[in-house]
Amino acid sequence: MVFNSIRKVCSSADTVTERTFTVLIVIGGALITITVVLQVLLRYVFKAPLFGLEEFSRLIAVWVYFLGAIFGTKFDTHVQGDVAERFFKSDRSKAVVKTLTWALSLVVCVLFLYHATKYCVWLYGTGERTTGLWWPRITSVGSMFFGALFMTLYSISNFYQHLTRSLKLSGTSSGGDS
Amino acid sequence: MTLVIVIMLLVVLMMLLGVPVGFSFGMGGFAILFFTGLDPRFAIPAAFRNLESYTLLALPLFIMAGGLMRDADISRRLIAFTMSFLGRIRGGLGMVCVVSCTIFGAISGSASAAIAAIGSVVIPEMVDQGYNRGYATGLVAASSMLALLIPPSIPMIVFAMTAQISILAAFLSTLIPGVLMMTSYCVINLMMCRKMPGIKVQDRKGFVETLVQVGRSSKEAGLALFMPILVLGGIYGGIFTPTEAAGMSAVYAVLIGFFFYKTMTLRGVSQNIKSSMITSGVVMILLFFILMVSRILVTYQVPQQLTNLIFKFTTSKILVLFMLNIILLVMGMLVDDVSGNILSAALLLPIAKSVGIDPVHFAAISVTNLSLGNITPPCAPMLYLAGLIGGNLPLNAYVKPASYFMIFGALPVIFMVTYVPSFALVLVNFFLR
Repeated sequence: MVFNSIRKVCSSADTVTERTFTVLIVIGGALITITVVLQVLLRYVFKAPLFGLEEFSRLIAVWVYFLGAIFGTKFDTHVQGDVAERFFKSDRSKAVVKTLTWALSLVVCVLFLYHATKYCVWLYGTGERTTGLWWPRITSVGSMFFGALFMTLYSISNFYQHLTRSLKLSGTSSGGDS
Repeated sequence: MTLVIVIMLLVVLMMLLGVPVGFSFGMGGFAILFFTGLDPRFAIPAAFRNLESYTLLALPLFIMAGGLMRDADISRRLIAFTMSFLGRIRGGLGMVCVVSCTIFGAISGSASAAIAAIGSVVIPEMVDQGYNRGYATGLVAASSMLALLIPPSIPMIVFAMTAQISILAAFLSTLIPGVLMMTSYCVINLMMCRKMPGIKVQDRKGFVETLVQVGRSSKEAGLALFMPILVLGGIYGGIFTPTEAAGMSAVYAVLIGFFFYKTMTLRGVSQNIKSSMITSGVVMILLFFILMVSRILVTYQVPQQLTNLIFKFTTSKILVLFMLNIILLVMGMLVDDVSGNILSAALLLPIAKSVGIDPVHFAAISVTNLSLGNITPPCAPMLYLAGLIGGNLPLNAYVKPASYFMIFGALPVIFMVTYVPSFALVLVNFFLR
């Protein structure tokens, strides 16, 4: 009962998060394009490039990169060599391999989150600012913590899904792996 | 050194198991840091600083532009355009496939985009015209290499970024090899089509009728064909930086998709932005982790130790180049073009430099070898993608025709790129030095 409620809450949170991130990544992608092209127009048409516009583009870009990496983790679209999948034929062995790969991915994401957090906390403490617009560096580096956090959460979700699937298949299958 | 070798072998094992390539390298990097007690604060900020580069913005923008052009339905127009020239030759449709992949490469810079955009249109058409489906699929897979050689090339941007060399020079280094490979593919295709009696050929038309057809298809495809001129002309004319050219090409694609071809919708554009930014994010996290590892390996002087190890066997430039050929080909069989090029720039470039190879020349060697590796089993992501687009064909149905193009078309060009430096550097020396 409690478990089902937790699942429902997680599912609703996932839907809201995905929609918000979709809006952010689309706006971010469009903003990168517009600012880059705007700089060209300002330089050639108005003969007056805008100071700091490139830095703004770079700031948006790093957030967009990590949003993209989060989606890559959620939808399992990261670049991977699926050689093992070609050797294992049965659904059960494929599910076990997937569980193992997501367990390893989860370990990496947790380590990344740990180191990203440590670095961000240290950087926040130094109060370092960017050289052009004089913005706090944490506005840019914070994207790494944000990305690592959500990649970890989605890795947990993927690991859990594959684990339950392989357990279910182990319960129903009577063998026949290759 | 032994610890690093063991950990890197584990990284390869994880990749083979199916752990995302970026995460595999991340695990390797964290493991080295853990066992050696090195401070991670030097590796992570260095990798992050690379992501903040303005030059690197060219990558998501080119990916977006390629996707937008695909959505603008330009592949059909490009194929009609090349058909108007080559349609009446026996095997002409095969040549159309090769040339269209090359032109699409000059628009998108991505092999997978070329396979998806050109393959999905040209394979059914080739089957209708009497070509064997396996042959058509193999030809598309082999031709996808061309998209990586003709600028702008996404793996080349990544290589140039990692190796800290000029993107403009790197782009130029594979232009002549790309055009030569395209020509050799066309010749091989014509020779192979002689042995296919079932191929239909378009009826011969009068001169005026042909001229009208060429004119009509040129008008239809003209705006799409202008895009490579805008990008390359802008970059080499000194008007834009590669990043700005990428931004301009994305805006250009939206404008022609909305106002001229009228194939685009706002929803389509936003979906395209989302998918291209996800692809970029996936590439960037990969870049982040590989750069982190390469930073650690450089601290451990692994590239120098690798160089010393190779020099124990030989100091001959030719033999070192041959070893690099083999390493890159094997690397290309195991990892995708982007990660392969980052690794190559980080680990193999110091070896190449130590025997006096120009970094720009090595960029050409790296991209050509890795792109061939990408269509060589066991991993061969582009080969499998072509099989999927060709109608979910089994590998044995198209690997043989693809191998003819790889052995007789791609390999000779790769050897020329490797052993005749001026072949890759002639345009670089002429325009930039």
